Amino acid sequence: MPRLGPALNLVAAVLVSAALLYAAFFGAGPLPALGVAFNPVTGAWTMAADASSNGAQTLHLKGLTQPARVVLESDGTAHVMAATDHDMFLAVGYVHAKFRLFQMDLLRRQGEGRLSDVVGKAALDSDRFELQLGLLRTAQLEWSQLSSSDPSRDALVAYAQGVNDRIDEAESQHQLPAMFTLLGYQPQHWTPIDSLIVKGDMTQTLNFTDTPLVMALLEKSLGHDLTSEWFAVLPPNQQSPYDPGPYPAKATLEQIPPLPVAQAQLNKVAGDSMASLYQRLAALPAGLIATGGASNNWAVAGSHTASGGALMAGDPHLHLTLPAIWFQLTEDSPGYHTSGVSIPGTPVVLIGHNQHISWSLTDAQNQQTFFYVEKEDAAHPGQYFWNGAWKKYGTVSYDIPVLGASTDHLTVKYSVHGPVISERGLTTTVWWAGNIPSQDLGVLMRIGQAANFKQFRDALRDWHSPTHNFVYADDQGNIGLISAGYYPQVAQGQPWLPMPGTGEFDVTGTIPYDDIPQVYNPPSGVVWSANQRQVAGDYPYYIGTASNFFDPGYRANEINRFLGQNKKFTAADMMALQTDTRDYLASEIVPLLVNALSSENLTGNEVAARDLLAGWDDRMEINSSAASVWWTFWQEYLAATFDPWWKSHNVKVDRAELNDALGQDLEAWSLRDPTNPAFTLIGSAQSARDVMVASFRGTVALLGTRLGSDPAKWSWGRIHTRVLENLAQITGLNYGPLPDRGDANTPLAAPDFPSTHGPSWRMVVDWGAGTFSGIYPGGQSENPASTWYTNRAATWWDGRYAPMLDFTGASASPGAVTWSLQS
Amino acid sequence: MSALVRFITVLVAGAAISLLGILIGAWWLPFPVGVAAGVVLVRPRWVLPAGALIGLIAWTIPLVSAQLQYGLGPASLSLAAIMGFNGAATIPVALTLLVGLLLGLTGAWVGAAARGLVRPPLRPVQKLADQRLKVEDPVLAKR
Repeated sequence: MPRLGPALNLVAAVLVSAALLYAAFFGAGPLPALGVAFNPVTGAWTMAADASSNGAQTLHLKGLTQPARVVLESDGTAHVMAATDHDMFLAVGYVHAKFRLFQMDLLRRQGEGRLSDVVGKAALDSDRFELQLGLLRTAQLEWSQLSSSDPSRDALVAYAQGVNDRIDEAESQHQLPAMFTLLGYQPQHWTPIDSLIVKGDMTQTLNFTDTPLVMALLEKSLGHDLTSEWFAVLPPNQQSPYDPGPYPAKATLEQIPPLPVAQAQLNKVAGDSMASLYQRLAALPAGLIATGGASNNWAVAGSHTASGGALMAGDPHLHLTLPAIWFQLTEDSPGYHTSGVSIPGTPVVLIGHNQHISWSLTDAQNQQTFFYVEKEDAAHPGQYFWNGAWKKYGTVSYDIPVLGASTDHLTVKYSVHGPVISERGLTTTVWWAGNIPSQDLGVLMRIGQAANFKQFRDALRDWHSPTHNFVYADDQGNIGLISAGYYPQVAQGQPWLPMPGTGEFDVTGTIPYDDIPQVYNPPSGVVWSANQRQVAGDYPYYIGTASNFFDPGYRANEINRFLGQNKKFTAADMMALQTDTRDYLASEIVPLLVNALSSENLTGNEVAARDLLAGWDDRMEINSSAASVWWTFWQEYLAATFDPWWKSHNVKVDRAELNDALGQDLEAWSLRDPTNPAFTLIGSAQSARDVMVASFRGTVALLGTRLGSDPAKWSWGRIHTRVLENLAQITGLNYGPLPDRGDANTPLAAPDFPSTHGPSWRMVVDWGAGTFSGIYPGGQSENPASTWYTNRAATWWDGRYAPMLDFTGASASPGAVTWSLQS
Repeated sequence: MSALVRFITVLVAGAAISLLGILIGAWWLPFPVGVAAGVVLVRPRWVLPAGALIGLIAWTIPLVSAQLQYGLGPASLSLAAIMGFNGAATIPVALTLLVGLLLGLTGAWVGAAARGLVRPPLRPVQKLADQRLKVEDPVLAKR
């Protein structure tokens, strides 16, 4: 007891106690509410109980009309069997929430601009941007436009009920995911609009781009001629379009189907204004702006396979997180028999198969984001000039609650083109196809029920955004590929730049559905997409530029090369191609480099490095030292060629951000135009050969400094790693970083250092053998204490697969448990 | 009732009440129970240990139970990672027990301080003097 007078003692005791109780109830600074968070019964320790709570049990769910069952395989794959479609969607909602509630809450908060409410000011820029862009407004419109008889309405309502059944149960049993406890909040009930928001998040991640702003900055610094040459509409390098034509004649203006939102050349863009907006967007958290896609899918017709049935493979490449974006399940009800992966927060299988067809998707990469500079003047405050008249901006206001700070007030202005996204210098609005309400969920439901290509294609007619390459294969040996979605067309102008908003340059409509890229049972017997430009140069419509819209095409070229072999393919071949590490670009450039070095006086290490390349198989394997030499060389070559231009022209865009486009140029010049003037800015260099030799010498010096003097020990795995990142950015809960194979050009995509993006789900279907296989990195549970948090990671990392069982097969599988669901 | 018996009684009862409270979500109960213990216990030297033990026992038993039922290793490692102490699984356990302990301890301190305001406890010096008096005064002892 302190030696204090009684009164002073009491005061001290009360003050110390008050401080402790405050910290226990409310937290202090970075500390969570210690009592709430760490008490052993209702605090974060409940993650231990949650991790053990997946055994056989009977559960009572409100809203269930008949008993249903959920079978969980030993790896956590969920199989839902219900007597009605309503009950099936309700059970899926419950299962998603049981394993991914915190992830679902984060996803809806991101899209609704409500992250600051739980994480504070750090998320305010993201919230303000999201509310400006308008995912919430779009979701609300989509919901209001759903007719009461639309099956997707019932699916969304039932799904929300299932999620809320789990929220109520978790709250009553103190089983909310630990992150809620640690962050000190409870999830609100789920609504159908939340599911539509989650869909909007994905659309934004894949398809909202800032490329027109980048192009405007390039025009301002490099000038029109260089920008047009280096960042051309049509790619300068070899491509593998899956739909090579012939194409239908271009529709007339009158034949272009209009889009629900009326839409709009900028003679001279005010560069500072665009730079400001570009910088603002660049500073947003990763994932809000699409930065180029990387996914693969392909199919082989039954006539070209060993089993006699069609083969299909799909691996969408996304940010690899823990928990993953995917949740694997099967849905069985009178109306649906689908198996595959779903996105928690949405009730349907997005990629998978039913009893007759299978499908997967890659991002189509066409331009769906357009920027407009609105014409204003001081005599017309609050108005913009459009189609010959002054119009008043619409406004909508939001209050954004901010944890630990006062509520932020935001007023969003919008014109006919879309929301005002910047008012610095010039008022810029953004037209984004993702802001057009579309009932994509209903499309997925109809795909899930399709039994043939006609039904599949008919369903996709209503798919709008993001534009995806949907690959198809069926149990009759047929294959197809459709790049479904909106392809906005402008009346005139250069849509890859910000355009004036005065009306003449508005979006007038979209390419007619029959004219969009698509093939069905092509003579080659194979179809494939890897974010490449889907069509050849004579396609009559504008769909986007080579720079930052479409992938350079190396993965597509490699897939095309592989599938072009004269053989009968097997599922094992599909798996081998999904984990293929052959760098197509390297296969083109390395022989040129080795040849260029043949007449040079080289040092010992340079000779060793050259010999490594000369004997290399172009595969980016962990143990390959040649892979390190190649990749480092290519970066040096890019830098040596373009950095002097960047410096001399004071280009404000990070050159590395444009490596895909510049690499295509460099590839094309190296192969076919080695004396391009681009090479002449560097010292005494006059040709590609000069720059290649200098870059190679720089590469050997750099690797020697970094990895030691022995080139044989410069293995790729020493510099190239991959990590599965915890969704809440808690590095201690990551998987990795670990050495890994692949690079940005290989079918097994592994861009960046460490690589955080890649094949988020691999699926291979053999309709002839009746086998379905799939794997994603991570696990079914978001609970880090659960064995299902990372249990699939090693399997995925090694390039292995798990069988995709149906309900019956799953029920009989070793270690499976059954949940009986009762009303 | 001797001081030891009273101490043990208060400790067992306080820990039991706190534990029951925690089991129904009232994790903060060691604090008011500690206050009560501080008021009830007369001997000052027993007060803070009693409060601390009440909080510690009440928070330890459910933790041990969870360990026996589910195993706390993965959860502990996960919490350590969330706290930024990768691999240090003992830190969340220690923090948890510390919070429980402090709740009881501060409660007991408040209780004892409040009691002291109304009725000051016997001072150690006075108690020692009384004992010496008993030993050193045989006459008085004979009476």
